[in-house]
Amino acid sequence: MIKKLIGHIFFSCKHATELVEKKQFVKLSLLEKVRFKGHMLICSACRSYEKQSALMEKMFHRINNSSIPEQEIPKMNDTAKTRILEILKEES
Amino acid sequence: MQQEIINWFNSYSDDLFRWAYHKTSSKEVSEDLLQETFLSAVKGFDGFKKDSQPKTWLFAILNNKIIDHYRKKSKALGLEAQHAEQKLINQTDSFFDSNQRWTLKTENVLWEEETHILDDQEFGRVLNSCMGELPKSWKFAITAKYLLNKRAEHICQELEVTPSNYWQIVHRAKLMLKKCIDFNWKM
Repeated sequence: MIKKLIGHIFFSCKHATELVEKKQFVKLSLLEKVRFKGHMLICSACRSYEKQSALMEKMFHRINNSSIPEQEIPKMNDTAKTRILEILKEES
Repeated sequence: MQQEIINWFNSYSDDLFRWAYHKTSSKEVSEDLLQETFLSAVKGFDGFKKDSQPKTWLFAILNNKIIDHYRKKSKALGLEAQHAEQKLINQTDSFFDSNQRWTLKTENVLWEEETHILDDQEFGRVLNSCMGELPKSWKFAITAKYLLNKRAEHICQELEVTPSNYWQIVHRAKLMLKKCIDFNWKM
């Protein structure tokens, strides 16, 4: 009963973890912030989700910004180059 | 003008191509983007200020083309579609009980500390294979802001997706990843 009531005041775990993502995209309202902080204070599982979410973000950043080794980047082939040059000559 | 643009093409096409490939990982897409970039350069030639660097200008055009490319992609993947991936939505819903509290085991979480894990190759492999199990549209949603180097709050605008749809996809994708990593990652 008390847990349910607390859940209503401080959001459910589902909602709180959704806010972990939402707050990266939009500013939370003051009331949302208070309720979110309250939930995080009492819920270790959601605190853990928040840390894992941040860790995943760091990993996504790494995966997508590690530069591709030079030798793995293909060369644009000459037919493509010639084709584009032909189009440019027609256009200009 | 014609000769000047052709000179630019000969001087910068390799660098532009490398950048496009870096951002799209596709040879064909990169070639198309390059073609569109130079066509835009022809059209916009009169607006090009002679005192600025042609290379910088061309890269700016290319970057816009890359964003266009991902915008089309996000539409094609149906990031706006509410009911796509219903099966997985049901699955992530089941991570919470009727009071919306966790049903996943939440003790003994082994991967929240960053210090060692970020550089751990095995963790990288687990994450990669877990990402491979996500639907394409979800995988794209969680990585788009890094592909485009945009802050989260701008990415919805760039991709023309409503924010609420967007963070809900991100939320669900991360829940799936969390469960998959919890299960597969052993220190």
